[in-house]
Amino acid sequence: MNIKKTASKYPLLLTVLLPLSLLTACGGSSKPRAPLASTESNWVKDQFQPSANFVAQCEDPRVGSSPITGIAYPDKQGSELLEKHWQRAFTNETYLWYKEVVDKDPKDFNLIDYFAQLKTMAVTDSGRDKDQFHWLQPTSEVEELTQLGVSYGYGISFDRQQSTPPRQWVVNNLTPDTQAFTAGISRGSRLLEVDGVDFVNGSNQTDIDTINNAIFSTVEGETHTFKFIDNNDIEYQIELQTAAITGVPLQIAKTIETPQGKTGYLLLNSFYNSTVEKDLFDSFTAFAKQGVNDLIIDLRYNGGGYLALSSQLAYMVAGKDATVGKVYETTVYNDKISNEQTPFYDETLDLRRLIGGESIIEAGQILPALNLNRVYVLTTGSSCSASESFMNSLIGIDIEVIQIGTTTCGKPYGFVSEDNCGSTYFTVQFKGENDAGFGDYADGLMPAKFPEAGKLAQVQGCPMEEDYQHNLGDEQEILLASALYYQTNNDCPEVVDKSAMKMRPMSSTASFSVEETELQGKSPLQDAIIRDVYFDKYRHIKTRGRNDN
Amino acid sequence: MIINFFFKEKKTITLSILAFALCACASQAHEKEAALLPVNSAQARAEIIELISLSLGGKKIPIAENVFQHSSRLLLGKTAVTSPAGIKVIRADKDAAIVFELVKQGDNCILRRMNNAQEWQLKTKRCFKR
Repeated sequence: MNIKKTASKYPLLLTVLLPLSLLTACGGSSKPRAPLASTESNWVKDQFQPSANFVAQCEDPRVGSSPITGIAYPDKQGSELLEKHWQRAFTNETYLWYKEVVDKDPKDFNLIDYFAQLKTMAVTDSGRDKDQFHWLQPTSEVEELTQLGVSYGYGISFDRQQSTPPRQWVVNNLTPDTQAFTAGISRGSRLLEVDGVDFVNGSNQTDIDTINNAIFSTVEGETHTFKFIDNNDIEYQIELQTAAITGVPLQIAKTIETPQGKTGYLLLNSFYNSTVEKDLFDSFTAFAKQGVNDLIIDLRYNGGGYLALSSQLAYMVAGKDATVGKVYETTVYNDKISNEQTPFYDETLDLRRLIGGESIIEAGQILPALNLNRVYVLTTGSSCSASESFMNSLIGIDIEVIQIGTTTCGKPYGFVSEDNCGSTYFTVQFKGENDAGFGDYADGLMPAKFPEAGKLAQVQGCPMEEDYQHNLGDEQEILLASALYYQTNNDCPEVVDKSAMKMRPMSSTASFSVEETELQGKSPLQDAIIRDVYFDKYRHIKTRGRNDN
Repeated sequence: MIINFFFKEKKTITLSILAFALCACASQAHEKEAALLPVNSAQARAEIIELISLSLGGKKIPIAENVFQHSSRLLLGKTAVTSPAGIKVIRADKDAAIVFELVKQGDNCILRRMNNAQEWQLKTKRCFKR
């Protein structure tokens, strides 16, 4: 491979770039290839030609060039059958579980159905598909772009608990310094009306259009009215303007005084925004100076991003002695492609510069580290990808990870999407394994009070649903309170009343009583899926900045 | 004669140096330097949004309210996609970034796309060297 040859010439650069490009989930590499001669191919079971023999031979070839890259489409006249042969060959070359694919004649399927069955049909212990990341979309759809960390919206993140009437959407986070934030929308508020339409029960098409036009508005400055009811059953109405919202990846970094000493708390919502590197560097520098000796990292809404940044975070938690000579994550491909390794990065990378931006931090500085042998991680089903890698990688080097919350999304996999004939294909090409060789957590990493022997996806901790009764970062907020309780008692807090859901006050000197905390109620996995859906749409929604222009 | 020649030479040299200096100044004046926008740059932002959309085949791109106010480079990446199971997939590929830069050349503010030769002179003159 070219990668191997180049590696000796640019070892440091590749050490940095390879994990970024390969492990961080999945960008579209759509290198144009020179089309080869078109040939209608006969299917012979379990005999495969190279995908290059079929690439860009399309039933409906595109003309012109990509509006994004300006590169001319390589398409030439072919057929749907040749496109399916490309799917088959591409799968055989790159799919992680290609040996589990039953080879079928493409003539018996249409384009979409043929690709849909080019996957493993195995299921996980929980009964869900082992491969949940296998689909194709029109390339024009997946070419949508955004300024990194920016999206249209209002700055409100919802837990979409039910999206059919009677709908129940609950505010679970607000992006700081947005109109929604300063207007006083409170965490836990339920959405009642949108532009005068009954959000909970509205069911005719006009109502749904009104709701969608407001919630998914991309027209900056457009005003919409939202009515909420808060945790005290007080209704309130707010007018908000659609705006381009800049996400705040590190939303909170603070120190909490506990009986055990200084405990650091980080609410980190993304590893995607490249400014995270400097934010974390500064926070850990401050933590180290303050003598922080315990750490709670709140990844409940962190859907992942750059693996390199999660590796840096892991190093800053564990320090040099625990990570030296250890692998953060091994990228395991199928047996036709060599594995790659991501180290525990112990230096600044200036990742923003590496991806084309201006330098935000001097590269090559040794990262500050707390040298902890234990870390608390707060999770929900929205904790995904690089967030899961962070936990799994620390577990792999025997750092004690105490997981508080609900099961993570279960995405130890990644891929480089591939374009062909106007379709973009997503198929699992690699999985991430920790230093101990574990990476099979397709059902997510699950907090367990008593992890079962051999069940490596079960993580010591407390299964606990968040309740939205307190603001994030508030020491009374149930997941944070539970972590603090565990820190003191080495045990999970007990929920004593299922109807009122009150947490029994702890016996230690610290007081973390939490009122009306719902502990169970719905399947964590269902939650994970639901929350990921809304999270996708709402995660960076913010309102228009007030003084920027 | 010698004296005259000397004076002639001196005059020539002086003129040459002056001309060189002027050229250098002129050249320097037209160098493109990374630039920022001041706060309250709504009109410039609107124009930038329009130009970026033009550069990308008419795609509507969310651009921050404070674009180019803290950084002279603007990074565009692909939006997340959602798997059929509803799980968001963030595409944090390093090659995905499309970079635009704001530069100042003389009195002019110029937006340029880093990976091709596209450049646009903005109507605003209010940008300043970073």
